Amino acid sequence: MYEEEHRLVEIKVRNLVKEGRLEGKHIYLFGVSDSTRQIIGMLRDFHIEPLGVLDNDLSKKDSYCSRVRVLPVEGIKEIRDRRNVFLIYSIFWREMASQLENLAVQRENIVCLYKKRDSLRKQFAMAGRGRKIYKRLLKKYGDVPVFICPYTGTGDVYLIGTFWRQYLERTGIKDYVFVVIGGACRKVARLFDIRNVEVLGTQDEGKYLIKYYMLCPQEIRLKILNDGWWQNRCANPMQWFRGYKRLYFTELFRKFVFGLPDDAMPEKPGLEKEGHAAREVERIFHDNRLAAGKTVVLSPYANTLADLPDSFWEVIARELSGRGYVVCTNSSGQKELPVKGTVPIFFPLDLAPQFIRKAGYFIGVRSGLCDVISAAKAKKIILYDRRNRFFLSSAYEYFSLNHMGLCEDAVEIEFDSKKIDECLGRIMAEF
Amino acid sequence: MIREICSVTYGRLIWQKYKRRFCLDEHTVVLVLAGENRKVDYYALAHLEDYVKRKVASRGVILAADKRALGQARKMKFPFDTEVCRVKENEVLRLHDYYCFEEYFDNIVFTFIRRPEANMLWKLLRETEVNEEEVACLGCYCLRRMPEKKQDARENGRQEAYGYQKGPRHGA
Repeated sequence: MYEEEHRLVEIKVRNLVKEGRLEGKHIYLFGVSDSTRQIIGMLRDFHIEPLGVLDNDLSKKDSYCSRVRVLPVEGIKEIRDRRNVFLIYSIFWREMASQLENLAVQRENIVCLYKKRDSLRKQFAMAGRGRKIYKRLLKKYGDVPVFICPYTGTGDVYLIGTFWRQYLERTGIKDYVFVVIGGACRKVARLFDIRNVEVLGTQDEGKYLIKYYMLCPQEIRLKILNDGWWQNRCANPMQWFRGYKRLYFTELFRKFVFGLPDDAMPEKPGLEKEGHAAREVERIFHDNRLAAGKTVVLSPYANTLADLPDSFWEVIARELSGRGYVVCTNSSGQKELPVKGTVPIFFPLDLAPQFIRKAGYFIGVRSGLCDVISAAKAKKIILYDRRNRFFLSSAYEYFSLNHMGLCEDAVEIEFDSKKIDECLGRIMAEF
Repeated sequence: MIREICSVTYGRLIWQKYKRRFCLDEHTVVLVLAGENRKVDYYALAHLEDYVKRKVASRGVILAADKRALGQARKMKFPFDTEVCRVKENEVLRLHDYYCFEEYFDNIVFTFIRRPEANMLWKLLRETEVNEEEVACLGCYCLRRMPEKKQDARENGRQEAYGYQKGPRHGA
């Protein structure tokens, strides 16, 4: 969801709560997706817990989406119960709503949160704003090609960084502007030898730039560094092949974003051992009384993948503390509270690999941070929910750090959310 | 930029014309055959039924500028109401330009594999194991999984009708 859409959905959810339309209701969301996760977060802000997430993909049955059980539509016993409310936010909202209506769900119990289409005039205005951004970039950097990472995903920017040198060499591009959304992505870009990194404050600004490109492709030297963007099914349908016939994260970027040959491998960033980064890491260690080579960093939060209960992390923290490790949580504020019994720490992404190298241990659910720290020489335990799907493959198949070629030494564990103890046992065996 | 705005606005006018002419609503799907790749067009037709089901629609409108694609569409039989219509190539292109700028209708699908510039379906066909049927189902229709195979006899019959048999994959 782009910022503007996010704001609108938040308002809609708030209004539903104010009007009492969700009070005492059985709330279901339709479709496992990032947007659904965000809406669950919004509901939780009002202390509302959905009963389930519906999905037609049977392989997702009984998995979890932000700790909410995923069910097939047929899995709801009393689907016509008037207390049920179905919230939908998806480009496929129309067929989802029709599917429910065909099962005799009342129309008033189906709430579509998906935005209405903007008027054509408004869309031209967006393209006009994109043009202004483009002109501003040209004024600052000259008439050079502009590359944009359209999402805030740090993992995407990291993967792009690993191919960047080879791409420039192959295309002979010497000068360029590299546009990212938000400071976190800039920090990831800093790990690599990427010049002229320009940060756009919001995803919306990136959307305007792309809108301008879609309107005037001949006027603008823009390349979008992703295999899919902006929910436009038509402009670049590659995203619908994610995970199909071994088309995983690295393959799609290598071949379809950069046009590199199959033998082009991701290149790790050069991590400085001395200098500013090392001093900064040293300072964080000193301030938090962390022990070099004996510190375990827990990373329980991810935007796209995996959900594990708090108790799981608390057991790990307790066990490892008992074995003499300093256990800390990578925590960046109120939405990412530290695991009970651990030291809350925050390290900027451009120091993350050095930090983990010095700590010695990392345990985390698969997130963009895992890409960023993949080059660190440390014990890296990465967790994947076995039932978690990403487009047409399992999350593990699509995002495995080892398979992606980002490292060879990650301990990657697929866990079954019903057999958490097994996963705990496997983790503990690594210490 | 003015030229492009005019072009998109023209696309919108064409769309409004078609919308009235074919009475397009949420119960209708529109398939625009690009004529760029004959097999992709064929499989788009062969799986139109799956798309209609997915969209919970009951009617299909097939548009094409390319004579061969049009011929393919006219020979095909569907278990729902369909209307096949020849349209001008320029209108198809403007309609597509407009769609790339604004997704104005949920139930419209184009079988272009090289348009717009960012569309890499042609490369997917050339450099991976993905075939035309998969391009039609996953790339064009976004069915998100391959439908069950249709009966071979029916499929072979259709293929004979369109002048080719299943065989090695060809580029665009």
